[in-house]
Formats: sequence, C-alpha cells, structure tokens
Amino acid sequence: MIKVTDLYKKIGEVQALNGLSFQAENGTITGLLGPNGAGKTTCLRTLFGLLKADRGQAEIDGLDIARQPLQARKQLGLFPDPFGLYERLTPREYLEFFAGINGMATADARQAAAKVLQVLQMDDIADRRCQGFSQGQRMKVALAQSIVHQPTNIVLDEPTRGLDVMSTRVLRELLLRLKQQGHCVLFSSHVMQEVAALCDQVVVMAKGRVLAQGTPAELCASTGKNNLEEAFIALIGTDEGIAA
Amino acid sequence: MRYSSSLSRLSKLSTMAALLLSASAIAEPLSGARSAMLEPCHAKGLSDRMLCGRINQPVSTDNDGSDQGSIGIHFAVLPAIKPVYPNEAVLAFAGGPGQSAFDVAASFAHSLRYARETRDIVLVDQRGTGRSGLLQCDAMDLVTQFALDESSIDMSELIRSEMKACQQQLQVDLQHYTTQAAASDFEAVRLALGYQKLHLYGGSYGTRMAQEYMRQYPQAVLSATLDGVVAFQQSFAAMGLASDASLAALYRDCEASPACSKTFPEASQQLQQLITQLEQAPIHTVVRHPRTFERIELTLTRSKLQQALRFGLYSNSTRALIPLAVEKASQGDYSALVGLMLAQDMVTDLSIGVNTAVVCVEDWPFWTEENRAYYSDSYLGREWMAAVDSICPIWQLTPAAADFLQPLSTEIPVLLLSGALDPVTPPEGAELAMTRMRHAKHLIAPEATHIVASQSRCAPKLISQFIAEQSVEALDGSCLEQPLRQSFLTNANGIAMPTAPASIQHQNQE
Amino acid sequence: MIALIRTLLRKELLDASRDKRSVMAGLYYAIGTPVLMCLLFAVLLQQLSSNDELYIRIDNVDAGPALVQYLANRDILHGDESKARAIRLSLADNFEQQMQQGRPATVILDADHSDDRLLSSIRRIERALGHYNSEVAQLRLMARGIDPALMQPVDVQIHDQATPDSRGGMFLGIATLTIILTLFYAAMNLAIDTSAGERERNSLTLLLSQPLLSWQLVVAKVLAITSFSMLGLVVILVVSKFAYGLVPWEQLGFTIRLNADFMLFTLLIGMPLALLSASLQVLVSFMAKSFKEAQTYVTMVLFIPLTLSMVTTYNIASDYVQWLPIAAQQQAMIEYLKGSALPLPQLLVSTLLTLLLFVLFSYGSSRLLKSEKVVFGL
Repeated sequence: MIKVTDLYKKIGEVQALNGLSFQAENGTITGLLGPNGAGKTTCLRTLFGLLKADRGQAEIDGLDIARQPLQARKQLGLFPDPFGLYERLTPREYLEFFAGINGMATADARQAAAKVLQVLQMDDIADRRCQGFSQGQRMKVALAQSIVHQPTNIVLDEPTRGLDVMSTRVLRELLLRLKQQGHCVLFSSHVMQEVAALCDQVVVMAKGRVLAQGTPAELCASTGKNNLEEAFIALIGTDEGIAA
Repeated sequence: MRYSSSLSRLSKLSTMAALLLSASAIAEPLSGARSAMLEPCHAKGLSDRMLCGRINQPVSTDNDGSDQGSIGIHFAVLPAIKPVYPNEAVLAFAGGPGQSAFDVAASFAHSLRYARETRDIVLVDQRGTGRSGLLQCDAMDLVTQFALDESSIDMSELIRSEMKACQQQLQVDLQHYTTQAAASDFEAVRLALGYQKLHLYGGSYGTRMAQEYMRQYPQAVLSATLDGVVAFQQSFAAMGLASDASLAALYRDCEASPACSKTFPEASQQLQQLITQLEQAPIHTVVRHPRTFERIELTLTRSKLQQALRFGLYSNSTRALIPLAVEKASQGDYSALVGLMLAQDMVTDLSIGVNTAVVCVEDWPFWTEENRAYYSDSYLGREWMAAVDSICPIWQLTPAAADFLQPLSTEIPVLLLSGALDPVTPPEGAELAMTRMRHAKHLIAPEATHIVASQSRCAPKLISQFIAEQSVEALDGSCLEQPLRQSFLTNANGIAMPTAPASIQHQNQE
Repeated sequence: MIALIRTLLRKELLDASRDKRSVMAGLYYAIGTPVLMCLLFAVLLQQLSSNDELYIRIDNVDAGPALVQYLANRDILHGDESKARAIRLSLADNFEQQMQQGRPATVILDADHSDDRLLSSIRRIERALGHYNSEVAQLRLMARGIDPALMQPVDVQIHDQATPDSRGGMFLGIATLTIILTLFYAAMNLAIDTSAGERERNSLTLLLSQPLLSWQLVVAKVLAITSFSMLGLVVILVVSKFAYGLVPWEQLGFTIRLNADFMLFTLLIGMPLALLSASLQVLVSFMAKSFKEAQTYVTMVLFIPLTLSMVTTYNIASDYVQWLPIAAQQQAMIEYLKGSALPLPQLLVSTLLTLLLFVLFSYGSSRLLKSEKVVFGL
C-alpha cells in the first residue's frame, strides 16, 4: 500500500508538488495520470526518498520514507524510466545483484533471479550481456529487476513508453498477475489507453495536485463524459501533454 | 690472538639485531649470512664504500695438531654495481710479495671496473700483510739511506744485523707465511662469503699467489687473469736481467726519438761512464731533502744509482725522466736523480716478513750454481742474491717441496698479460708460466711497463670480457697496442717533442 | 551491511573487469610506462656514459703533440666535422715554447656549457687535462729533486657512503614517479566510468532507490577502483623489475633493482594512496555535470599528485612538502631502493593524512549522492 499525504515540493521556482494526496491499495493497479510537467516523476522520486518533500509525507506499507528509508524501499520495486541497465552484465547477474542489495543472501538471490527469468520467459537471454538487447528485451530486464526481490509495491514510471505491441502485452499480463497476487501496483503514465485498459483506480493529477481519483467509470460519471479521455480533458481543462 | 672472533655466535646475533634496526642499511648484494659479519669500510684513494670483515685462521696450516694460535685474515668486498652473478666474485691478489690488497684497492677497483659492473670484487690481505697482521720492521729513514755508503761497509753484515733485529721484533715463525701457506686463507674467505666460484686477478707476485690458489683449489676457480706474470720455474733473481733489458729498451727509444737523441746524443755512454765512475768511487755530495728542503748528505753509489733507475723504470712517466736525470748527474747535478730515488717510496708498506718467507722458502733453496751464474750477469741480480744469501740462513726455514717449481698444469682458462717494457715481470715469465695451461692466451702490450691493466685503457675491458666469456678464444689484444710511452723530458720543464714511434702511431690513429 | 557492500563491490568489479577499454587503458599505462622509460633511460645513458671514444675538434695539433697523444690515450680524439662533438680544443701557437720555459701553455676549451649533452664530455676533457697538468707538474718537481707530494698539503680522502643502489639519483626518482602515479592513472577511466558514467547511463537513480546508504555505494566504488589501481601497481612493479633490469645502469656506476621486498613495501604504502586516489577521482567525477566534464576535471586534478611526485623526483620539495601524501610515500620508496633509513615520521604522518583525505573525499561523495542537484543534475 502506498499512501501520499499532502506533499509539497518546490524545485527551483516551480511548485512541483502542491498538496498531493492519494492512496494506492494492495491488489489494485493504480494509474497516476497527468500531462507532462504535472509532477508525476517528482512524486515518484519523493516516494523513493530521492527527493525530500518540503511538507507532507509518503508512506510505504505504513513506513514513512523520510524516516525509515531503507525499510520502506525494501517494500518497493521500481521500474524506472529510462531503464538504467548495466550493459556489461547479463540479466541473471543484474537480477542477482538487485536481489542482493535488497537483502537477499546469495543463494536466495540466485533462486529469485532464476524464478523471475522463468516467469518472464527470459531464459534465452538470461546469460547474454545486455549490450545489444532490443527495447523489448530491455523492458523485460527492467521489469524483472523491479520484482526480483518480491516487493509488495511495484512502481512503474511511464512503463509503456517506446514499447512494441508484444512487449506491452507481456507488461500488461504481468501487472495483472501482480494484482491478482495482491501486490500494490502504481504506475505513472500520460498514455490514456494504458490507464483505461489496466487501471482499477486512476489518480488524475496536474500542477502538483490531485484533480480526481476513482475507477475509470467513476471518473466518467463524475465528469458526465462517456469515456476517460473526455473525462480527463474535462478534469484538467486541456488535452495538452496527453497521449491517446 | 688479538682479533676477536667475528664469527662467534654471539657477535653474529648481535650484528644481525643491529642490521634489523638500521633497516637494510647494509648493502644487499651479499646474502644475510654474508653481510652479518661485514661492516662498511673505505680504502685509501677509493671513495666507494666497501664491506670489510675478518675471519680467524689457524697460524699453522700443517695438520700436525700443534696449536699455534690463530691469525685474523682481513678482507674487503667491493660490491658489484649490479649483482647479476651473486654467487661469483673476482678475487684480486696483490703483489710484493708482501703488499696489502686492501691498500691498493683503488688500483684494483680501476683495473676491474668493468668486471665489477656485475660481480663483487674481493680483496684479501694475505697473512702477514696489511691488516692481516702486518709483519714489518723499522725501515731506514731517508736521510740515513741517502748518506749510507754501501761500497765501504760490509753490506752483508749490515743486512744480517738489521734482519736479526727484525726477527727479534717480529717473534714469528715465517714458515707459515709462504705462498703455499696463504692459499687456504683465500679459500676460507671464499667459503665464509659464500661464493661458489671465483675469477682470479693477480698482478706481479699476485700472479704466483693466484696460480698457487688454482693449484690447491682448482674446483673453486672459473677463470684467472695473470698480469705481470711470475712463473713457478723462475727465481725472483731474474728481475735483475729484466730491469737491464727494460733500461736498454728505454735508451733505444731515446736514440730513436729525434728530440731525445738530439738533446742527449751520448745518453747511453753517459750512463756507462757514470756507472764506471761510481764503481771506482762513490760521489759524496750534498742535496736538498726532497720534502724538507734541508741540505742533506748524499753518497751516490752504484747501488743507489741502479736502484733509482730500477724503480724509475716501473712507470712510463718516470721513464721519461731517466735520460735527463742521468745526464744531469754526470754533470754534477743530482736533483733529478733524487727525484727518481723517490720512486722507491712505494715499497715502504711491504711486509718484510712475507717477502722473506716467500723468498727463503720458495725461491732461495732452489738456486743452482748454473742459474746463480746466469742471474749474476746483472748487477741488480748479484746484489739481490747477495742480500738473500745473508738473510735466509737467519730464519732457518724449511724449503718448499721441489715440486713447487713445477709450472701450473690446469684446464682453467687463463689470460696472461705482459708489458713489453716491464722491468720486473717481462713477457718471458708469462711464456714460462703457461707451458702447461691448456686454455691460456698471452697478450702483450708493447708499450706497457709493469701491470698492464693499470695502464692500458682497454685491458680492463679485456679482463671483463674474459670473465664474462670464461674463454680466451674471442679475446682480441690488438687494442693493447695503444701508445703508452711518454715523451722524454728534455729539460726540467718538460716535454718538447713526442718520441718518434709514438708520433707515427698517433698519426695512424687519425 | 558487510554483505551489502560485498554485493555492491562484486558488481562493481564484475562490471569494471568487463570494461575492456578502461582496464586496458590502465594496463597500457602500467606496462607501457616502464618500457618507455627504459628506452628513454637507455638513450640518456648513452649520452651520460663516457667510456667510449670521444671525438672533438682539436686545433693546432702540431703545437703540442705530446698533449694530443696523452688525450688520445684516454680515447679523446680529433675527429672531422661529421664525427666530432661541438667541442673545440685549441692549442696556442707558442704551446711548446711556453712548456719548455716552464710558463703556463694555453689551451682553449671551447664549448657551449648550457648544452646538457656535452656536459659529461666537457667534464671528461677537463679531467683529462687536469691529470695531464698534474703529471707534468709531478715530473717537473721530480726533475728538481722535490717530492711531488708537496703539492698536496692536504690529502683529502673521500669516504662515500653511497652504495650502487643509492646512486641512482634522478633515475630512482623517475622510476618511483611512474610507479606511484600508476595509482592515479591506471584506474582513472574506471573511476570516471563508475561514477559519472553510472549517472549518465541512468543506473545511479535506480541504485539510489534501493535500500542502501549512499556511503555504502561510495565505499564499494572506491574499493573497486582501488582494486584495479592496486592491480595496475602490481603490473607496473613486475614490468618495471624486468624492464629496468635490462637497462645497463652499471655503466654509470649504479643500479636500480626492484626486489620482492621493495614490491611488497610499495604495495603496502601504496594501498592508502590507492584509496585516496579512488576517492578523489570519484568525488571529482560526481562533482562534474557530465562524463566529458568529469574527464576534464579528473585530468586537471591529477596534476596535484603529479606535482607532488615531481618535486620529490627532482628533490626540490621543501621540508613541509615531505610530510604530504605521495611525496612522503615516494621518498620512502626512493630511500628503500637506496637502502637508507626510511623517513618513518614523514611516512606515518603522510599515511594518516592520506587515509584522512580518503575518508573526507568518500564522505564528500556520499554527501553529493544525497544532493538532489547532483543526482538528477538539476
């Protein structure tokens, strides 16, 4: 469970977060939807404690990231944008490393990596260096990394950017499976379709604050529109920075 | 004996403790065990730091069980610059007999400078010389020497009484100070320093010591360079003839030199006349003391003249002074001759004990009527034999076994060097010595005098090459033909013209 | 926590060891420098050693053939333009007459003393002329019945405490300079790659999002770089041992021998320096905004160790510089090679300073990693 309460963060002259509050529940896929510059990335960075909020707090499974960053981060998996792969390591080494720094003993880390590789059907590329991987293969590695240590919460930053159809499907299936397993899945996106297709809950934000939160149906209902896109435009007042 | 045992366990331990404290202050080419008994030292005229040590050797080398105490054998190691061959060393033997190797370290360091690039140089003071219990007696001071009239007194009696006084003073059995007796000391030093093999370099009498060492310890020797060779077969009395020959060559050179023959047209006649005159009666005169400038008496006898010439012949630079000194003397001016007489100073540090032991045990007993007559052709030979005949009976030493006179028979590669102008050890000595050496080469430097390596620029290179190759095959002695003679002094200021042959060779070089 | 650092270190080492270009760059330095130095030294030695024949121009040979012959005996010969060095020896026309009359006969030694390549030759000629002077003077005194020793009222005996190992002088300095700078240059590319490179490849944020503390990350990186610097040190020591063994130092009367003891000693005192070097380069790389910038900054910063090493090499360090890191360690290496007493107080203080700087720089880097500005380049 991820809970953000009344977050304020000023970066330079810009008020990036302006009283942001929302909650992403376990067993739910929550989409953080907002136009470019809405504060999605700032929000996620604050979630991981990479940025310090000026005010307010972010909790991961009830752990305050500012006070107990290490414990809180252990409950988090990050699918970053960009992926941040190590080109000279193989996926297996990469995964074992991330399992390791999340506190797994060497043997456990090895097992966890093997399992994830199997789940994501990456055995064919498991022992090749990441150098030269296709975008889809890279996505898989990043995805595997975010779940290898079996966190309760998985955060994905613009996960579908630049993905082909097949990769998007893999991603989608995995997210649904995570949801079924009771994980809390939070992803930021500015792609309407993704959010509509996957999310149980949508948090619409702009200018550092939440404009609305609810199921896609609830959002449509509250704005009186019949699809999410329309609802979204109605909510933020413009369609600038949103992809269909 | 008066030297404390540096090999005793206690002192070895304490030295090693000191070593640890000074953090490898002692140069490292020598292994720990070697350096444990060594300490830094310096020799005269050589700024390089050496490592000196001492081992105790029994005085008596006979295995008759008699304990006559021990003698401290002093040695020095001039460390290799780059110890490429830490298990080998060049062992240098000094001349005399009776010279200290340590005292002439500077000269060895110069002659063996290329060999030293990769190997240690080891200098051992032969028992009875230098720091190994020097056996020396008071010598006559210069004023007395100058005034002494050898022709009017009984020289044999004088020598005998001096020697008896010396015997009283030394109180030592000279039987243990011969060449044969000393060889084991060198071997003991080799073992103490832990060298597996040695290259020998001997000069003058040192060549005989080196040959004796090869005779007794052939397995320890990889190569030997003998410079100014003394053969076993030959008596030291031969040096009289050698000196005469060298003097004759000098006068031939003067005659061949336009400047010399022009300035001294009657040079050799002048010398003959002077000798004849002195034989009839010595000249009593007054000269300036060469150092104090006081007026002192000089009784110029034939003996003094011939000794002055003999020592003057040793180096090319004093050779250049001889025709001038003789001419001046025959004209009544003895200052240049006094200058030549100074050359004798170099014998002052000789060990009279070792010299006597070697001569009386290994030389004098073997004189026959025949070779007495032969050596008597020379004034110097006669004079020397007479002195030896006076000295040796005093000591009552047991002669060496007759086979001592056998030439060394060896498979070890040997390089023999001779200077054609050498007044003591001319090339004939080397020819005699090498008769049974199966891998030997004799190189002659035509213009060198005594000890080639100290004069020729190329001899040190040849020695180093020989040591490196351990074979005489590839040695090319042509560089020894370099001109070394100096132009004769034509007046007290110097050199007018070079000698003719030298000038021709000089042109060849261009 | 140890396990965490070990995991981080293992990844850094694995990643770095596969960075062929950076590793090879370091190894090229470690292998190439001693080899280059060797060639340089060999050329220098050729110029410095004066055992061979020396050809110069001798004018007016006929005026003093005896002197010319004396010089020829010492392999100082007259040669034509093509062969001769730019040294001219001119004998005065009245050389012979002056000699005969006991007046000083003039010889002019004409050469450019600022030309370093000529200096040893000039000295050799001066020495030979000096010997000639004293030989002629000795003969002149002997011809007058005076002991030439009178010309030498004081017999100065030089007792040189130097050993063949300690005479290397500047060469020892240069040899140790190249060795000690390995610690800074061998892992330079790796240091930049693992810090500025990590950020540029976007893996830094991902790493910092993990449950670890920034100092742990810094320590792991510094240790990894240190390992490679130390590897470089081992390589350069081994290569130097063999390469310098080939240089004919002995011709100049000294030797440079890197034995096992020296290597161990260098590895020991080099370790803190490797830590300092790694932490310094990581700090500078993180401070830079980009990879390229980091390369520039690190190169610039490395002038500091270079300078410290240079002043030690050329023995121009003032007293307090000898207490500083690098300078003290290099001095200790030189003294070790010479076989003289080690400057222990300096070495101790400098080692402590080195470790202190390592802690400071590492702390600085971990502070930087907590800064939003640095991590996100904001």
